[in-house]
Amino acid sequence: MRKPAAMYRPAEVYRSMPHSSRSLRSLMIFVLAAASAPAVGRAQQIRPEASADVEKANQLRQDLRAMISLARDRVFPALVNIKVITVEYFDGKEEKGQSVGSGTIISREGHVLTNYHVARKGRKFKCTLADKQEVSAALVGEDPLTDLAVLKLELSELKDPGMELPVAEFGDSGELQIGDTVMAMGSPWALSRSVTLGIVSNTERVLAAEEDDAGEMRFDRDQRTGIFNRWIQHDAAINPGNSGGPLVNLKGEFIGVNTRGTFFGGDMGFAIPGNVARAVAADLVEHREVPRSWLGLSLKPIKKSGLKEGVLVNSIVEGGPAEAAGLKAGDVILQIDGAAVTVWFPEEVPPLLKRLADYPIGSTVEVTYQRQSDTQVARIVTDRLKKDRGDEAAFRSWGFVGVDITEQMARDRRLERTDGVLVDSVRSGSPAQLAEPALASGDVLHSIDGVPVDHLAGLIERYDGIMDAEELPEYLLFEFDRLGKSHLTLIKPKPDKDEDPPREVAKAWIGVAVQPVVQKLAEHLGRPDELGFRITRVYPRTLAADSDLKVGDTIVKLDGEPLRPRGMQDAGMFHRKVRKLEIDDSATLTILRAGAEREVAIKLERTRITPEEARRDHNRDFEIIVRDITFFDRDERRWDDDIRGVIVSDVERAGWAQLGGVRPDDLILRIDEFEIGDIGDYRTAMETITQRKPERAVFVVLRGASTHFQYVEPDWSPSAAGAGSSDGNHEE
Amino acid sequence: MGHLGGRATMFVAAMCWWSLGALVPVSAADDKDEFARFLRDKEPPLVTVKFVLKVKMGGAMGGMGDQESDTEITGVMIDPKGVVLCSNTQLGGFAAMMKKFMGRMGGEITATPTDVKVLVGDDVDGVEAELIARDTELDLAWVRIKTPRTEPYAHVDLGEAVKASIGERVFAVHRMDKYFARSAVVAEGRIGGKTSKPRDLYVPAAALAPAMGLPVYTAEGQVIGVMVMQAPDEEDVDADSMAMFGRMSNMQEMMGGFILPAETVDKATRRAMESAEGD
Repeated sequence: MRKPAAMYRPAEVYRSMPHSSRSLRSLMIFVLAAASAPAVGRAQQIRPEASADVEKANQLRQDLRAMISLARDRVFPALVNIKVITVEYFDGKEEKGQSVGSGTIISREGHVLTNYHVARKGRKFKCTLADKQEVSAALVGEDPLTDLAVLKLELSELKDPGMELPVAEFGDSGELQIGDTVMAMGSPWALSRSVTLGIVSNTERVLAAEEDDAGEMRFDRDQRTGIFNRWIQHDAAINPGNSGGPLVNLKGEFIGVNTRGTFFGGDMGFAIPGNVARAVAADLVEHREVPRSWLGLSLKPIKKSGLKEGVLVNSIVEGGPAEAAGLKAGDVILQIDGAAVTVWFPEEVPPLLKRLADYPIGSTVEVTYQRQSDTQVARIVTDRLKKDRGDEAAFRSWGFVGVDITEQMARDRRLERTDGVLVDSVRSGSPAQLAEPALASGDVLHSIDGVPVDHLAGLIERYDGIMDAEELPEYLLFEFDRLGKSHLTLIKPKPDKDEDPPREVAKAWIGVAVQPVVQKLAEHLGRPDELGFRITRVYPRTLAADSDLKVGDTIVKLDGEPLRPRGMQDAGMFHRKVRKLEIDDSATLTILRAGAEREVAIKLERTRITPEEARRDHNRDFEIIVRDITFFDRDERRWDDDIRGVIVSDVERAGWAQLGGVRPDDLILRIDEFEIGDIGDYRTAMETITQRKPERAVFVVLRGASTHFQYVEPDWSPSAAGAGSSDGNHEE
Repeated sequence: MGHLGGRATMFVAAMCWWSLGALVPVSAADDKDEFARFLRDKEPPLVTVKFVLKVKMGGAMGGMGDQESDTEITGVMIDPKGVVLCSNTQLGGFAAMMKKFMGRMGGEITATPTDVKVLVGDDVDGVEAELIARDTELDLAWVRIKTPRTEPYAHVDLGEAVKASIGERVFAVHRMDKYFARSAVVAEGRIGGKTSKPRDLYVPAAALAPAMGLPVYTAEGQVIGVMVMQAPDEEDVDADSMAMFGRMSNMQEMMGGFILPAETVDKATRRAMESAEGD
C-alpha cells in the first residue's frame, strides 16, 4: 500500500517519480540554485565548492534549454493558427462571427487536427502556418462527442505547392504520468504562436459535477461532448485561442489536444489524450465521421449506491438496443462479454463507454446483469450512434431558424416522430412572429400549403422555390405541432428588401452656417448693439453662394425682424425662422459688414436631404449597407461634384465586405468593371455580380484622400449549416 | 460605453416615466353627456396604425444589431382619401429624439417603420399603407393608404380650427390597443400655458399624453391643435455630452406633450403632401 505523500521524505518522493521527471526535477533544482547563487555571491565571498555548483547549474541550464528546444522544434513547425468565420443561428436569423483557435498538422497531405468547438459553425477557415503563410482550409469531419475536428489545408495555395509540410508525431498518451513535464503550444488570445511549460496534474480527470456523477457535458441542450474521454489536466498556461493546439511531451511528441481551461481554478488546463485524438482523427480522415456503436443506455458509478460490484444502469432509451435486449434502468451490469466490470468512480465511466462504442456497429454484446437478486444475461445488438443535433438553417424571409430533428432531440422533447422541422427561434417582427397564431420556438413544422415538410433539406428547397418565384404568394398555410396539438397559421412571406428611410418634409432654407453673436461676444468685439448671427460658412453650390453673402457677415434682421439671440440656447433661431417661410419665396437679410449695414435679397431653397434620409441599399450577399452621397457629405468632406459613388454606411460584423477590408465611410467608386455614380448604378452592378457569382469582387474605394483596392470574397453557398452552439463554458 | 449605456438607460427610464404618465386617470367629467358626445363625434376619424419597427443600433449603442418589433399606435384621418396623421415619435421618430439628447452618439440608432397598415373602424386586418413624410421638428408623420376605398373616410378638417386660451378646458380622444378592443377613451385637461420657443405651442396643464399625435378639442368640439412631443432644436443644444443630464431635468415638460396649433399642423400637412407628390 502506498503511503500518503505527506508521509514521504523528499528523497522518497524523488524516487517515486518517473525517470524522466526525476532528471528534469534535478535540473530544475540546480537551475533554481544557480539563479539564486549570484545574489548570494555578491554578498559573500565565493567558496570553491559554491563555484563548482554554479558551473554545474550552468551546464544543467543549458541541457534543460536544449531539451526543451529539441522537443519544441519537433512540433512547433506543425502548429497552425486557425481563423474561423462562423455562422450562428439565433433569434430567428443567422449572424456571422469570427473566432480563432489552434491546430496541428498531422499529415503530409495537410490534415490539421483541432477542436470541434474551434471548427463548429465554421463557414470559412484560414490557417497561418509556422512560416507565416496563410492558407485556406476545408472541414474534413468533426466529432462533437470528443470535441475534435479535422481540417485540410488547401495545398495549392502554398507559396511552394510541392513543399513538404512539417508534421507532428503522436506519442503514447497512455504513458503519461502525473508530474511529467509538458508544453502547451498555440495562439492564446489570438496572439501569434506561443509555448508554455508545465507539468501533468492528473491523467484521468473527468469533469462531472459532484452532485451528479452521471452528468454529461454539453455544448447546448442537444449536443453532448467529452463523454468518451478522461482529460489530461496540466498547469501549462492556456487561454482562449489555445483551443485545438498540441500538448507536447519533452520527447517532442504530440500527446494531447488542449481543449479547456478555467477562469476560476488557477492553472488548470485540460487536454484530450493523444491516443483518443489519433483514433478519432484517423476515422475523420477516412470516413468523415467516427462510426460508433450505440446501446441506448447510460451508466452510473456505484460509489454512492451501496453496491459492491458492477455498474448501475442509470437509464434506458425507450426502443433502443438495450431495452430490446431486456435491460431496465436499475439493473446492475456485472460482466461484459464475460469480463467482470466494476465502476466505482466517475473516472471509470468514459473508458467503459468508449469500449462499448468501439464495438463494430451491429455487434452482439453479451451483458451479465443483476436485477434484484437474479443474475441474467442479455444479448444487445448494437445500433449506429447517430448525431445528437440536426443541421439548422435560417429562413430569412419567413423569419425563423429551423433544425432537423434527430432521434435524440425527438426523445428529449417527447416528440412522436423525427419528420418535420423544429422551429428553433423566431425573429421579432418577422412574418413568422406576426402570423396569428405566431410561430414559436419548439413548434414542429409539418407542412406548407398541404405539402409535407419532412426534413430541413426539403424545406430549404421549398423556401428557395417559393422565394425565387416571380410572384410571391400572399399567404402560406403552415401546419405545425405545438406541445402535441396540431395548429394552422398563415405566414405572409416578405421580400428580403429594406425600404428607403422616410423623407422629412421639405422646408425653406438658406445655404449658410451661422453662429449666434450673443451680448458678451458683441461687446468684446466692440459692437455691443450688433447681436445677430455671424456667417461661418457659405455652402458652395447653393443660392446663398450665388448671393452677396460672405463669411464674417452678421445677419441682424430677417425680413425686417431683428434677430437677437440671448445665448447658445438660441443658436437655432435663424434657421428656425427661415424654415417658417415658404420655399421659392424671397427673403431679405439685413447684414453688417465692416460696420456698415446692407440688405441682401435671397431666394429660399429647399432643405437638403440629410444622410439619414438618403436612399440606401442593403446587400445581403456582401453584407454591406451603402447610401447616396448627400449635400452635407460633400460639404463635410470637401468633395467636388466630380466625385461620385456611394458611401458605405455599415458593414456587418465578420461579413464578407468587412473581411474584404471595406469599412464604414468608404466611398465606393468602382466594383469590378462597374463605375458607381449613385445608388442606381450600385444596384445594377450588384445585380449583375450576384448573377455571375464570382469568386471575388474588387471594390475600389476612396478612403480619406487615397484609393484602396479591396478584394471581397462572398460565400454563394446555401444558408444551411451544421449544428452546434456555445454553452457559455470557457473553452480554451 | 458604460457612460453611454447609462445615458441610454436614463432615456429609457424617462420613456417609462412618460408611459406611466399616460396612465394617470383623467379628471372626473363635469358633464357625462359631454364625454359621450366626444366619444360619438370624435372616434370615427381615429384609426389604428400597425407597423413593424426596424431598429438598428451601432456599436456605441451596445451593438445590438437589427431589432424588429410589431407595434401599433392611434392616428387620425385628416383627409377623405385616406391620409392619416400620427405622432412621429411613436412612428419610430424616437431615434431622432435620442439623437437630440445624446448628440452625435445618438446618430448610431436608426428606426424605420415597415409593413405599415391602417385599421379603420373595427377592422382587424388593416389595409396597406405607406409613410409618405415626416416632420421631426414638429413631431408629425403622415401615412397614406395605398389603395383607398371609394367611400370617403371620416376625417378631421384641420383647416377649421380655433385658438384656445389659458385655462380653457380641452379634450382629446384616443384608442386603446388590441388587448382592450381598441376602445375609444376621452382625456380631459386644461391649457396651462403657452410658449413661443422652439415654436408656438399650447402647454396642457394635465396629462393628455395618451392622445399623442391626435387632435385636441375645445369643449365645443372645435379642433385647436395636435398633441406632440417637443425637444429643443439640435442647434440650440450644447454639444457637450454631459449637458445631457441638464436636459433630462426638462424631460418632464417635453414628454408630457404640447399642443401644436392646428394652423401649424395644417401648413405642415400641405408641405407634406407637396413633398410626397414631389417624390
